[in-house]
Amino acid sequence: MTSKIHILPEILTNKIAAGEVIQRPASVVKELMENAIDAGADKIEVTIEQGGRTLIQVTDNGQGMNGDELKLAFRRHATSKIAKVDDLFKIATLGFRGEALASIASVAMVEAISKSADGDDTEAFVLKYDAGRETTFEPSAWPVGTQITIKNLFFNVPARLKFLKGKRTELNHILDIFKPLALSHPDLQFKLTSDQKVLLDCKPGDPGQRIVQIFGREYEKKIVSVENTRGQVKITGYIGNLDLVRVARGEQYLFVNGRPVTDRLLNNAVYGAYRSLIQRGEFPFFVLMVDLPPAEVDVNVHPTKSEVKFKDEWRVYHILKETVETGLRETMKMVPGLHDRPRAQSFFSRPEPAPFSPDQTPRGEYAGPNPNPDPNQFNLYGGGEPGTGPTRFPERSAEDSELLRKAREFSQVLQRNPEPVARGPERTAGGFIWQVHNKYILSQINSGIAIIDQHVAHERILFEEAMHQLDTRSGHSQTLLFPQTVEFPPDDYNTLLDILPDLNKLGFQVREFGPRTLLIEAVPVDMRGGAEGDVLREIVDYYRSNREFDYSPGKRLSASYACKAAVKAGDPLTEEEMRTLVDRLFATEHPFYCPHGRPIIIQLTIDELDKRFERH
Amino acid sequence: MQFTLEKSALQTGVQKIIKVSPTRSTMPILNHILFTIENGRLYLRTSDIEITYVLEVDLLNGEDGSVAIPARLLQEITNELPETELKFSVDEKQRISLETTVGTYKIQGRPGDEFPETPELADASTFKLPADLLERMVDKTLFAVGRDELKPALMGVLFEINKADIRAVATDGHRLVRFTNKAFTNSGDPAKVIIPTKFLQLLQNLLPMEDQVEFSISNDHVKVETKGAKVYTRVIDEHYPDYTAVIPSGNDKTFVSNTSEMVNTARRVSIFSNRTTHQLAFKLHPGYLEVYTEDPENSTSAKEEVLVEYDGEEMTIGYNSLYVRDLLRNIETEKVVFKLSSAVGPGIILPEKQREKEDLLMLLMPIRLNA
Ligand SMILES: Nc1ncnc2c1ncn2[C@@H]1O[C@H](COP(=O)(O)OP(=O)(O)OP(=O)(O)O)[C@@H](O)[C@H]1O
Ligand SMILES: [Mg+2]
Repeated sequence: MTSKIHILPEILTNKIAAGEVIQRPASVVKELMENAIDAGADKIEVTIEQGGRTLIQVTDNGQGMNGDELKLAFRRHATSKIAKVDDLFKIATLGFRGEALASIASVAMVEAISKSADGDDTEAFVLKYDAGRETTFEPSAWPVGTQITIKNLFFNVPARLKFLKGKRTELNHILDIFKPLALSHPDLQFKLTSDQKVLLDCKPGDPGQRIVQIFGREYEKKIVSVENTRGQVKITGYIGNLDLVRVARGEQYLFVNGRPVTDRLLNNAVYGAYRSLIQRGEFPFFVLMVDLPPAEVDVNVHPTKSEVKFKDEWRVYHILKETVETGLRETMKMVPGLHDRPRAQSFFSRPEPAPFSPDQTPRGEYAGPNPNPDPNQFNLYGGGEPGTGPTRFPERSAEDSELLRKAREFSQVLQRNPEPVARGPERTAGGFIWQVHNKYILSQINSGIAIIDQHVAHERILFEEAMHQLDTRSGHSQTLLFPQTVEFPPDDYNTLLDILPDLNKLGFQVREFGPRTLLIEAVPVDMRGGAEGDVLREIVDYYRSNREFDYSPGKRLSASYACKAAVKAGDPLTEEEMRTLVDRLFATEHPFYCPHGRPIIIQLTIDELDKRFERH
Repeated sequence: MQFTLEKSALQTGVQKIIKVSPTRSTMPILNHILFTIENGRLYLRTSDIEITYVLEVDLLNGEDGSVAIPARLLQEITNELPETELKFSVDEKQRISLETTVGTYKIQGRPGDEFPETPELADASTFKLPADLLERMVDKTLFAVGRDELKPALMGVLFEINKADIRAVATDGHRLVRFTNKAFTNSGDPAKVIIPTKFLQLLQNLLPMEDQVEFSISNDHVKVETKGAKVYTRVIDEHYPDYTAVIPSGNDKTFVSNTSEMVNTARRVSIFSNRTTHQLAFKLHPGYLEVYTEDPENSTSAKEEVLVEYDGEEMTIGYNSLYVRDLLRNIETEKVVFKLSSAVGPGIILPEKQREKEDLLMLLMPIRLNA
C-alpha cells in the first residue's frame, strides 16, 4: 500500500494561516463535507443528532483512503492536496492545510471507515480516535468511499462545550454551512438528515434547480441567472428580485472558485448594483460564483478558509457589479418606482402566500418574520396612476417609450410639486430643484427627497448617446471659430490615431496636422465647455488607463468621452439645465448607475427621515 | 466721527453700489460699505477685489473720517425708513448709532482702514467717451461672451481703442460679434484690453444716467469715471484669439430676409428642437428658406418656410437655435443679411444697413449635421 498523503515540511506549514479550526459542530460539518467534495464524491450524506452535539456523520462515495492513508490523514499537517510552497498559489481544492481531521480527532470521539478506489487496495479499514488517541485500527467491510462519524464533540473540552448553543441554533449554523456547499456544487447529490428527519435532499441538477431545491418552489420565479466573462474572470449565478429582499443578512452566497467566502467588498459590489432598489439594512438574494485562475486569488488568509484575497480585488468588484447590474437591467428594465403595477407583475411579482415547504422548517428560529417588502416602498414618488397609455414613438421600442413617458412623468412631478419645503435661489414657482454645492441636484419627490449626482448623471447620458452614435455616426458637431492645434506625446498620438474615426463619429472633427499634432475643428454639440485640446488629452489618458478592462474599444471610448465631456462636480447649473439633465437622465436605459457602476440617484424617503429624527 | 445725510441720497447710493459687494465672501470686510469723508465730501465704496465702485453721495454735514458699515443691513433699513435725515455717530470702537426721526438704531461697524485700497492706475491712457456710445458697445456685444472658466480670455469683451475708431469684440468660440464706431477719435496711444463681463453688466446700470465718461486703461486695470462715480476693474490678462483671421471674405451665398419674420420662425421652430443640442437646419432655395428641426428623442419636428432674396444654389446648414435668436435680436434693421460659404464655414450676419459711422458684424459657426 502506498500513500498519496504526506506530512508537510515545516517550511510549508509555517506559511499556512493557522488558528482554531473547530469552533462548533458546524465547523466539523464544514471540514468533513469539504473533504468529501475534494475526494471527488458525487453523493454526500450528512447526518446530525442533537444539533451535532452527539453525532455528526458524513458519508461519501469519493475516492476513499487505503489503510496507510487513513492513518496518516489524522496526523497534523498531513495532506494529499499540496506538496510544495508553490502549490499554495494555485490551490484548486477546498482543503490544503492537513489540519482538519487532526483538529477534530483531538476534541471528539471519531470513527473513520474508508475504502480506496485504487484497484490495488482491496480492503477497507476502520480507525477510531478518542480525544486524540488512536484506539482501534483494523480491516473492515465498506464500499469505496469514506464515512466519518464524530460523537460527543468537545466532551474533553468543557469550556467549549459550555459555549455551544441550543440544538436548533447549532443546526442553523450547520445549515449555513450545508447550503452554500450544496449551492456551489449543484452537480453533486447532498442529503441532510437531522434527528432522523430528512431536511434537504438535493438531487444533482443545474444551479437554478439547486436554488429551488434549497429555498423552495416560490424562488423559481423570483430569481434570474447572470453570466459574464471578462478576460479570465467568469461570473455566473443567480440574483433575486425585490420579493427576496430581506431585512436580515443570510441569503447572500458568494463563491470564489467553488469556495464559499465572505467578502465585504464583493458583497458591496452586489449591494451597490441594487443600490437604488434597496435601502440601508435590506439585503437582496444572490448566489454568485466567481471563477478565476487559482493564481489570481490567495485562499490562504484565514484559518477557516472563509476569506480570500484577490490580486486585483477592484477589478473583480467592478466585473461583479457590472454583472449584477446587467442582470437587473436586462430582466427588469428596472426603474424603481417608475414602474406601475402591471409591469411589476412580471418580475416584481406581488408577494404570494408562501406554500408550506419542508425545507423552511429549520429556518424558523433564525429567519424571523419574512418582511416581503411592498414594492411600493421603492416607489420614487408614490403610487402615481399611469395616465393615458404610453405614446408610441417610431424610433423607440414600446418599452423605451414607456420609460420615456415615465421620465416625463417624473420631471412633471418635479415641476408641479405643490409644497414648497425650502427656500433658496433655485426655488421657482413650478416646484423646486436645487443645486447643492454645485455638485448634487436635489428635489422633493412624493416619497421624500431625490438626490442626483450631476456628473454621473450627465456621464450616463453621454455614455448611452456615445454608444448610439458610434453605431449610427450620428453625433452632431459644433464647428469652432478658432480651430485648435494640439501636440501629443508619441504614444498618446498613436492611440489617438487609432480612435480618430470613432472620435469623429461622436461629433469631434479632428484630423492629422503635422507631426504628432492634431487639428480640432469641431466638438460634439453637447460637450461641456473647456479647452478642447485638454478634453481630448483627458479622453486619451482615460482610454489608455482603462485598457485592462476588456470592454470593447467602442465602449471604452464612450466611457472615456462620457467621463471627460460631462459636467463636473463644481460646475454651476441653471435651473433649465438641471431640469433638462433630469429629463434626459430618465430617458436613458439605465438612469440609476453610471457606466462605472456608481449610483446616480439616491433617495431619502420620508420614512427614513422620520426614523432619523426619531419620529415614530 | 459724525455725519448727516438725506435718507433718499443714501438709499439710491447704496442701491447702486451694493451690486458689487459679494453675497458670500471669505473676507467679511467685503460685505461692508466703506464710508469715507474727505474735505467734507462723502464717498461710499464697495469692492469684491476684482471690481471697486466709488460713489459720491450728497452730505448735509460731517467731519472727516472713515468707517465700514454692513451692506445688507444698511440696504434693508434705508429701504424701510421714511424720508428723514440720517445722523450717524461712530465711536472709536466703530459702534454706530443711527438716529432718525422715527428712532435710533445701533450697528457694529469695522475700521475703515480694513477696506481694500482703490487700485492705482499707473501710466494709464485716458480718453473721453460719450456714455451712450459705451453703452451701445456693451449692449451689442455682451451677449456673445464666453462663460467657460477654462477659457478666461473669452469671459469678457475685447476693447480696442485706435486713433480713428473704437471697437468691441466678443466671442465664445462658436459665434462672434464685432462692433466698431468710427466717429471716435483718440489723440492718445492705441490700446487693447479685455474687460470682464461683470464689470460691463455694472456699466449697463450706470451709463444710462450719464452723458460723458472718462475711460482709463492701465496695464492691469480699467477705470470708468462719471460725474459722481468711479468704477474700477481688474482686466483679464490673457491673450485674446486673433479674431481678424477668422472673419471670412469670400462668403458669396448671400440671402436677405425680413428680420422679425426670421426671429419668429426661429422661435417657433426651435420649440421643437432637441433641448440639448438646440439645432436648427436652414435649407436655402432660390426665393425661400426652409427652417426645420427634428428631435428623434422626443419624436417632434417642425418646418417653416420664409421668403428670402436669394438666387444661388441650394444648400443646407445647421445652427444652434439659441445662437441664431441671440444674433437676430441684435439686428435693428427691418432686414437682415446672411452671407454664407459652406455647411461648415462661418456665416456672416449683418444688418441690411449699418448706422452712420458704425459697423456691426456677427459670425456664426454651424453645427455639422451628421446622418
Ligand atoms: N472523505 C475523504 N475521502 C478521501 N480522502 C480524504 C477524505 N477526508 C480526508 N481525506 C484525506 O485526508 C487528508 C487530510 O484531510 P484534512 O481534512 O485533515 O486535511 P486537508 O483536507 O488536506 O486540508 P484542510 O485541513 O485544510 O481541509 C486529505 O488531504 C485527504 O487526502
Ligand atoms: Mg480537509
